[in-house]
Amino acid sequence: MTERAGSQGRRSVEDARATRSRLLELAGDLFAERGYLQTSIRDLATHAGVTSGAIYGHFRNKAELLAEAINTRTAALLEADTIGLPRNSDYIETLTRQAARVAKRRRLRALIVQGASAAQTDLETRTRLREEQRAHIDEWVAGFERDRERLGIDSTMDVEAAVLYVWAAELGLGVLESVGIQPRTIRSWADIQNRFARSWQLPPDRKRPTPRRS
Amino acid sequence: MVRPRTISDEALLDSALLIVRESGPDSLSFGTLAARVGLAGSTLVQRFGSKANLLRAALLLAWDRLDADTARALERAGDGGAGAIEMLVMLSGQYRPDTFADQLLILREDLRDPVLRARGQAWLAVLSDAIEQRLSGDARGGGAGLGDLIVTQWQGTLTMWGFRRRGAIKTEVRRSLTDLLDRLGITRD
Repeated sequence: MTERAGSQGRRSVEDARATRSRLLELAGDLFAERGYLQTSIRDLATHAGVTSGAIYGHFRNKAELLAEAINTRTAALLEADTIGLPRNSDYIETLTRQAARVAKRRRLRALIVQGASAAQTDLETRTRLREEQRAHIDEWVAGFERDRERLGIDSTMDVEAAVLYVWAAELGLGVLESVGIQPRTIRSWADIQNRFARSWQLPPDRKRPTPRRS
Repeated sequence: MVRPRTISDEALLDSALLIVRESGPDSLSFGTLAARVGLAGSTLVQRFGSKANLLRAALLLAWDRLDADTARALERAGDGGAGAIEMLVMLSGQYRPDTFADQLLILREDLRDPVLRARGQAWLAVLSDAIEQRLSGDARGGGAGLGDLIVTQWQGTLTMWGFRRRGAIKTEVRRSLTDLLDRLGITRD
């Protein structure tokens, strides 16, 4: 292959990656704002300025687009703050800070709620999303298990159950937001998450942290 | 002379809800409903006017039933944290594998319909207040803000169960909420 041909090949791979990424971003926004069922591949193509065929060149179907959009945003907005904690980090602070940043993940939650709704009547969506969720949860649990001792998490603590709690809180908030209900205050929301996170360090018979008054 | 209705509006709306549950709200049309109940599409148009009215009427019926279930659960559930959990466990009874979609479908529709959205807000506020009332005597910091948190956790548990479909939904809800209250130091007595 000539140098010029090689450079063109690299550029077309990069272009394809950029297009795929742009489509995912756009699909995530449209699904979250207008609804998954209400957004067709044709709508997406119109917004993106490409043909429907071009979209099918990147994604097998709409279910794949939805799963990938949720996957990408979960990694960027939720896991980036919590997995692979630096050596000097404190997971309580991390989870509390993450709770305080709840507003910035609103669109991700809306997207997951759309996915959860679609999953009820579409087996492929359900299977895809279940697998994606499982992978994220497993990665999260493995991260906490790896650092359990350093983080001071009690040896009897069921880390998976705790991670599922954090995940459920995020999804539940998405459901409430879908009818326009917000946490009463971000501070009280973060405070409660802080109480929960601190309880991880206590054995079962002492898992009752004193509420922090502020 | 007006001919008697062979199928009541409620029975028709029940069938409409079944279509929504099985295939999503976009699958509901006069045609699909007519095929299911054995009436002419034009008869259904006469009764409900438009597809939007039909869907709204079906979802309002679902909300009426949910409100009635909620009132019963509130009446039956005891005091304290245990009562709060019991109340939500009772309301999780409707989340059988074949009917789980109901609330999520209803809530999704609420995004587009202000009337239904207001029903959703009112329902969640009733639950949140009932929980806070039950926790208000807790000296460890129960009460304010916890109602929303527990309703949030409940809805999140249901949503996750919808993905995973593992075990019985009531057992999962009870375990999840009990652990949450224990960890937050809220007495369940």
